[in-house]
Amino acid sequence: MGTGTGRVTRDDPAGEAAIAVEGVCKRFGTTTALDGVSLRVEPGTFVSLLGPSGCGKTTLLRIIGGFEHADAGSISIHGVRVDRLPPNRRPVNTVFQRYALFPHKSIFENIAFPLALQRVPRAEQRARVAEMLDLVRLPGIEARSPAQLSGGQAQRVALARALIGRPRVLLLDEPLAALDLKLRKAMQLELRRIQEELGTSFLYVTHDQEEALTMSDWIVLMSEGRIAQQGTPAEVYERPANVFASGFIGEANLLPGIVAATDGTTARVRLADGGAEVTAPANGVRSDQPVVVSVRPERLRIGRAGSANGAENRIPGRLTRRVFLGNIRREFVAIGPDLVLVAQRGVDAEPIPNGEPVEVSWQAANTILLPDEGASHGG
Amino acid sequence: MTGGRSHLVWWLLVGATLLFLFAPVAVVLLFSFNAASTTSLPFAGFSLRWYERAFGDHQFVVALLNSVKVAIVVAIFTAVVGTSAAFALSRRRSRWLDLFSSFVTAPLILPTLFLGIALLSFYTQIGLRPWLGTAMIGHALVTLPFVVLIVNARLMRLDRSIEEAARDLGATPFQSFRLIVLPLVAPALLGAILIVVAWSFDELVITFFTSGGDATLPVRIWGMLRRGIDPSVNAMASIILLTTIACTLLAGRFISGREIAR
Ligand SMILES: Nc1ncnc2c1ncn2[C@@H]1O[C@H](COP(=O)(O)OP(=O)(O)OP(=O)(O)O)[C@@H](O)[C@H]1O
Ligand SMILES: [Mg+2]
Repeated sequence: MGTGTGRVTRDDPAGEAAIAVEGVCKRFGTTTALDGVSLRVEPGTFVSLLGPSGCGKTTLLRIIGGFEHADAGSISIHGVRVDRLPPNRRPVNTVFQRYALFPHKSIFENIAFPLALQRVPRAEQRARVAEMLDLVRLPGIEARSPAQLSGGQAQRVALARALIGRPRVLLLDEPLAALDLKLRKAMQLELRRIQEELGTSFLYVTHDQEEALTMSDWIVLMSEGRIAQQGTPAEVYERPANVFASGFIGEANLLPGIVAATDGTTARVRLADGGAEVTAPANGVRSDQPVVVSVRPERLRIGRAGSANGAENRIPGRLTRRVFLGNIRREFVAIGPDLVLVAQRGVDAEPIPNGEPVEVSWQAANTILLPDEGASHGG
Repeated sequence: MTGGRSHLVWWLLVGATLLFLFAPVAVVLLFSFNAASTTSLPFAGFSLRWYERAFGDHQFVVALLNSVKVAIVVAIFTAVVGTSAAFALSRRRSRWLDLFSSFVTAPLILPTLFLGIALLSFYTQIGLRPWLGTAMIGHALVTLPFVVLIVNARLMRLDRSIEEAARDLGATPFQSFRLIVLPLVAPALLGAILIVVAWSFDELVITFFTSGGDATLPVRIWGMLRRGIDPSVNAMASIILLTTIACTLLAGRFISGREIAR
């Protein structure tokens, strides 16, 4: 995985994680928020905790920060067990989603708060606050009050305040969720720049898969209190481990079917809807196993029936709808009574009128077979 | 026009109501500055003689000091205990605390006459001689709920993550309370305390039953009225009136202005 370098690793014995979470479980009454979560954040890396609403991301972050206690499992930060330490004695800081600036204190007092607690001399406080404000590109706003800041500025101040104590690990809980799209994109780059500049390990919670893909060294994908998959952005995007990962990260056509034949390297799958056959790398499936075929929209080609392009999988269909998205076009092709594939084409591709018979094709290598977890109950 | 007529009627109603509400108040205030020695018209000229007479009366001065003592002790006690109780109530949800919260608000709805009698018989039962201290207990009992409820309402609207941020940045629970929570609830607390002082300063019934021989200002006035009206009573009543109004107005600034706006 990522670049385990920088000042953070200097005094660490080799192989020690910045954060090590082992088998953490947490229940709230009858809801299980976390169900045996284990993960490692390597020193100096940017790790995203990604998952849909309610999957337990905030709960895990709060347990690491010390605001919630796990029912089972352990948390270590740079090799030190912190399970019994209160938040003020853990070597991590948190950036909260709603900024949580102190409304009755100036920006200077907000950022200098950790230093004031440690009775750092006033001159040093001033120098370090100025340094932090430079880092987050808001120099000279020390005298203002939090009420006078925009959302993006408040978020930068919260970041400066969390970083001034020079934590080795920073936890961020959807820090950009309240910002508009443009500001969010800008802040994504800023956050990554600051993380690389300081070499601090970031554990970043988000439910935005695009954000996770663009910012992270490592993605931990969660679903219903468990880890569905983890890996580099390229790994989780290109080799989703299950139907959930495939659907949550990026877009995917998910087609249920049954394995008709397999020789161990390639398999043929009969689609449940429409009965077309698809060839794909076997990925460990057995004959007659219910599976889900996953293909990314950008892997699909659309052409007039019979046009040769060397793709193993060809399914006839009818173009039903076209959506223009600026740089690309998204086209919907019906290939069965209830089955519609989504394909992506460049704006220059030859336009085909709606309702026209077409052929959807893609290469076997770009097809992923995933075990159909829902099949036994679904029918 | 009917519109104009109903307008006029409305204003007459408002005027009459205000007159009935405030005329007695105005009369007391006015006669406290009257040079004549009867509390009847005509007004015989401005004078401070009734105030001089009141302050020359040793018993009045003792009663005034007693009132001040009660107000100060009750204010400090309810501020400390009320804030602690409000903090406990807003932070931990438990059935025990819910029960406590319904108990703590009970004195608010009990009639003061009942409370006065109940407290007096309780003190007698446990062999406590009524004096100024027992009156303070009575006042604290009734006013504590104000403080708990007002401070609790403020705490409930305080973003929990602000406190968590303080803890996260290295503050101990006490530091986070003293440096972050307390300054944020201070205006509401101050408002609540002013209401407590205003209430305590003119409370008669509970004090009458529980203070024994140590009269506060209202008790002293009540005693004087039974012996016939002396115009210096107007001066004493005016002192209570002005104190109460000043406290209430100030409290209103702290609670409605800064408290509700946030
Ligand atoms: N204090 C709590 N009391 C009861 N249930 C809770 C509490 N905190 C979280 N939960 C429950 O635990 C589950 C996980 O919540 P959590 O806040 O960790 O989700 P999340 O992944 O952060 O979601 P989101 O993206 O919406 O913030 C949810 O079902 C939630 O309702
Ligand atoms: Mg959350």
